[in-house]
Amino acid sequence: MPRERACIVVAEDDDLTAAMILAVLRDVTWRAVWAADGEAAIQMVEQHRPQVLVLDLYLPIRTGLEVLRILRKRPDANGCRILVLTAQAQIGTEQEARANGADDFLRKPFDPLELKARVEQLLREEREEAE
Amino acid sequence: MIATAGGPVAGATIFTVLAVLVLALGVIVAAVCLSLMIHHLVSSHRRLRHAARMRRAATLLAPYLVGGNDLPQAVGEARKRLGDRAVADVLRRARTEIKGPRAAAISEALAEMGEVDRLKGIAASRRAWKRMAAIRGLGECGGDEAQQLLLSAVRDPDPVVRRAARDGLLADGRPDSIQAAIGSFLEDVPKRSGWRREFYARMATMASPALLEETVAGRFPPAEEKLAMEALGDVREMRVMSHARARLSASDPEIRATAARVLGKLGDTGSVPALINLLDDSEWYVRASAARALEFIPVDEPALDALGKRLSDSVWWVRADAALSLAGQGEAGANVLITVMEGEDKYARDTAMAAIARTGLTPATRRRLRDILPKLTADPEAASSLAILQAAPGVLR
Repeated sequence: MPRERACIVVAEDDDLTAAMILAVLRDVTWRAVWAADGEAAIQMVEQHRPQVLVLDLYLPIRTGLEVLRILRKRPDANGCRILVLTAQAQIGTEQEARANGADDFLRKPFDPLELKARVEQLLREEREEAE
Repeated sequence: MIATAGGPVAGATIFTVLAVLVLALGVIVAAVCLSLMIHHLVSSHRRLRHAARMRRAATLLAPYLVGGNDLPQAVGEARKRLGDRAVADVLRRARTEIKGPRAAAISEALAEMGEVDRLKGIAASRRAWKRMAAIRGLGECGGDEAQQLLLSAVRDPDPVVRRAARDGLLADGRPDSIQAAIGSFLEDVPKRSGWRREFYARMATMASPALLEETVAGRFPPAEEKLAMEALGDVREMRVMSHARARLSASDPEIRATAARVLGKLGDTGSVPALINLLDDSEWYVRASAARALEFIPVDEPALDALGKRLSDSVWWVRADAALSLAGQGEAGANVLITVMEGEDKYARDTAMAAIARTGLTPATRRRLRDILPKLTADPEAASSLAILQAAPGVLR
């Protein structure tokens, strides 16, 4: 799949994990930006209007769930597809994330190919909805 | 004169000795403080330098960690520029975040650069904390050689080292590693329940098919089977459903209760008749677990009636769980609660009022609730529950 001009925001506080996710997304899009905490994630979404947000639930300043709730209440950010990527494994975590507006959920440790496929799927869905 | 001259001289001597002692003590304390400060500065500087090198190594290696065939060359370059420690630490951290073929490539890179050999040397230390750190590191490295070392470490005399080895084997994920981890765990069966829950939670996350197989095969004693089933329910391992259904009729009431909770988590509609039967179980915690399980499964009239009857249970916990389940069933459940509120059983009425205060109501059920308000208001014993109801947003207004 050729690279797109879609914007993707990665909200992840661990720099190595963020670097790896950004490296995976480099094959998907020309525009991937990194937010190291929850507050920065909200600001980046407002600023860049991304098509996809890859969101860790364990973030400083504002948690991933808080970011989800805040973004889903804002009409201008509602079109953004959100993929939650987290180390938390319990059923309640996924249910809570989806109930708060996550479109997809992936647990760590993650397979880079699977992450890429999930993001590409979300971009396709976003494109189809826009059309 | 000699006698009087001896007094001041002796006093001066004692004073001089004391002064010298205090001075010497002061010099020693100052020297110790200075050396601690220097040690702190040097350590901090090393830590910051190592962290900076790790950041640079992460930036350099990230594209090769997630794809491509150039990881060995990239690792070699990074080692020349940033040193072995920073590169090894980055590779180990990356290996814990990634799974699949890339994880295997990272394990090979770690073995090639000698990290596994280095940790193998430390794992032979006489000090348990060093062995534990090395075993933890080997768990992060992965690969065949690390696996062999972990398999040996599960027989270490120190329990903390054995625990680290089990974690590493679970992370490895291969069938023989999982078997060895379970075998070691069952031999140890740590006395702290936190450790046990953590073991099953990690196993359910990393190797749920293996945990499922062991659970179904009956390899665990009852106390462990409960924890294994809960962990599988927590990660939504749907294949445990048939085993949990079979265990609803176990002779051990704690197994029955656990099976009920797991089926609730999995949302198993097929187990509703069996859960309804469990609402009449002789043990209160089994009844409570069955009631709570039904909250997560859409049910119809037989289950709603059975839950309604549990609002008169002799045990408060069962009443509360039954009420919460009814509150979670939408309008049908709310109607059962309102019917109970009209009855004469005051315990059931109070429980129903507390639950309905937590649920959203349709206009029809809100009207019905308002119709029975006069009767509730007339009863002084209903005052406190009525106050909660009236204060709850969206219930009566």
